[in-house]
Amino acid sequence: MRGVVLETKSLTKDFGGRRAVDDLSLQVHAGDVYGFLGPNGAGKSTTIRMLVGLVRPTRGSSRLFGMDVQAERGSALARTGALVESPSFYKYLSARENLRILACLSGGCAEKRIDEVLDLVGLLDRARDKVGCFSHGMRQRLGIAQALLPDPELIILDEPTTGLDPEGMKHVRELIVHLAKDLGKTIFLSSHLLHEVEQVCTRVGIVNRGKLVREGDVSSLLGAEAGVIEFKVGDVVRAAEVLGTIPGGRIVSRTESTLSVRIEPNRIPEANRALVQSGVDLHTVTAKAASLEDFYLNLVQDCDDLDATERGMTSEESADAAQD
Amino acid sequence: MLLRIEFTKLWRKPRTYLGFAGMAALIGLMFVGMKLGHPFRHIEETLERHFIVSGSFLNAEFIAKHLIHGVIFTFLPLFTAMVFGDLIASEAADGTMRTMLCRPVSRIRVGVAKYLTGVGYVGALTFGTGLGAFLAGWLVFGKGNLVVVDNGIWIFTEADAIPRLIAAYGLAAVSMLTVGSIAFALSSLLSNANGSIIGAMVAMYGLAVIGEIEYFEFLKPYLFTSHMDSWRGLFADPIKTGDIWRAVGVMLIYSAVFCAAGLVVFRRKDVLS
Repeated sequence: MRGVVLETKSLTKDFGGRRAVDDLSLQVHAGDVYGFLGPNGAGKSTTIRMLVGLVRPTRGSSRLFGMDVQAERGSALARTGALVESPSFYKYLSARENLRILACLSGGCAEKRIDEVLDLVGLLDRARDKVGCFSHGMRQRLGIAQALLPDPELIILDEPTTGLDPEGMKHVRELIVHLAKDLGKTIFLSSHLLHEVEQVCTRVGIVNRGKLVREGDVSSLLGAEAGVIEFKVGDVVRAAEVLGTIPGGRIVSRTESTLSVRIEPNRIPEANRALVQSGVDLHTVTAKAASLEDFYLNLVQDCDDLDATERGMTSEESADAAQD
Repeated sequence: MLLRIEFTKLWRKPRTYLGFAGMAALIGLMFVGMKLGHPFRHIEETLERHFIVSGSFLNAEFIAKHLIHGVIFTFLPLFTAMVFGDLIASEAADGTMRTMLCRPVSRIRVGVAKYLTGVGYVGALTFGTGLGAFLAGWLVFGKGNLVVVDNGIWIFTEADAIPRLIAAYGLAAVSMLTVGSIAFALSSLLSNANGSIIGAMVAMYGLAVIGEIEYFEFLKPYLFTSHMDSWRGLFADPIKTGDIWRAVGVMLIYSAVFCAAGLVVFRRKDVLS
């Protein structure tokens, strides 16, 4: 069993009367690339801020390498590099000077290491330029460079690809994979880009309204999601009525001509037969590849529906409230 | 190490030089006024009433002493509050505090380094102002005895005047440290540089006004603003040593209390920007 690098226990944070993070307990093991997902305002950034000691929890604890972040902040952060939200630097200093200052705060490092990390993010040729004239994407890359500077064992990245062009995003994805696979780093990655998380992460935790609603290996979560069949039909409304009668069948999504239905594999012939017998034109039946995006959206919608039910709202009202 | 980093940041920040530029401009304007106008006629008349005056009392010593009087309640505290108010608040607002405190560095050490940087700035600004005024005065009017008209006429030889001037600027620096400490505490509390600057200036003028109200006379010895002109006691004979030490004590207590308050808030506060 690989050791636990990052752990939270009942982590809770209240801002006034609002609970931003609610009893959050999670574990990240050595070598994991852990994707931390959730909608806006779900409490991801607050959790990350508590992990690096920027925010004090109302209740619960966070530990890095077994050390409590509040009680042993210095030791806990010594082996950690972090990029928290959009990176900020001293605009009147050059990229190299900024990194030099941040390196000193981490206990110092050689100029060679500064060159290495600048090279890694493609900014070595701009090292002497003032950060004030950097684009947002360049600052983002410099943010990643500063997180890597102390050669940490754990790297916490909060939305690292925000503001990057597609090439830059690909570069960062490759960098994360390189850091994890080749250099054995543990990565805690918060992102909105689900396909990005799916490509690079080995485990995910999904938060909604401050609570951890699901955690596990990407492959096992998507395995559970498998079983979604896409029916391309002539009359979607009629087909939905028919498929709704199949035991265990649940409509996941619909378009003008397709219905995606979660159904047990042995019920597919029955569903097929029912559609044909009801006079619905059936064009194709396709097993849909499970994606993290579908899994995430369904999970968040289920949570919102459950929450709305508890508050006595209809499904449509819940969707409107979620959009608001 | 932290202190070096903070000084590097301070001296590389353009806003830091506003104070020096402002004081240099003020000294320049003062000289224009002295050359073109006759602002010290009353002193000249007082002197001529009692002495046969040969030459001019206008010299480097006089200008350096006169400048303290002009700036201790106005420009010096403003420029001091601008830098102290900026120390924590601007970094919190810019997000650089977040980048900094993600690292294994003690918040108290960061706070102390920032405060000491502010202390260094106050020293540089106050003594720099005095030195600038003295050198410019020397260049334009030359050096000589220092004439002071304050509850009598005092004439100090050049050798006697210079140590008194240095001590006077030292006392001015202690006054500025008090204003700066208030701005530092507010900077930590409000995370808003402008609010901290305005707050510190309002506190200074507010206490100065309270000290002038007869009803609050009993508070006067405890208000730091009542001691900000204690430097005048250096230009008397004998020097009002007791008053000066009392003033230093009161102002340093204010500074220590506000510095400690700023550090406690900084240590515990959530970094949300």
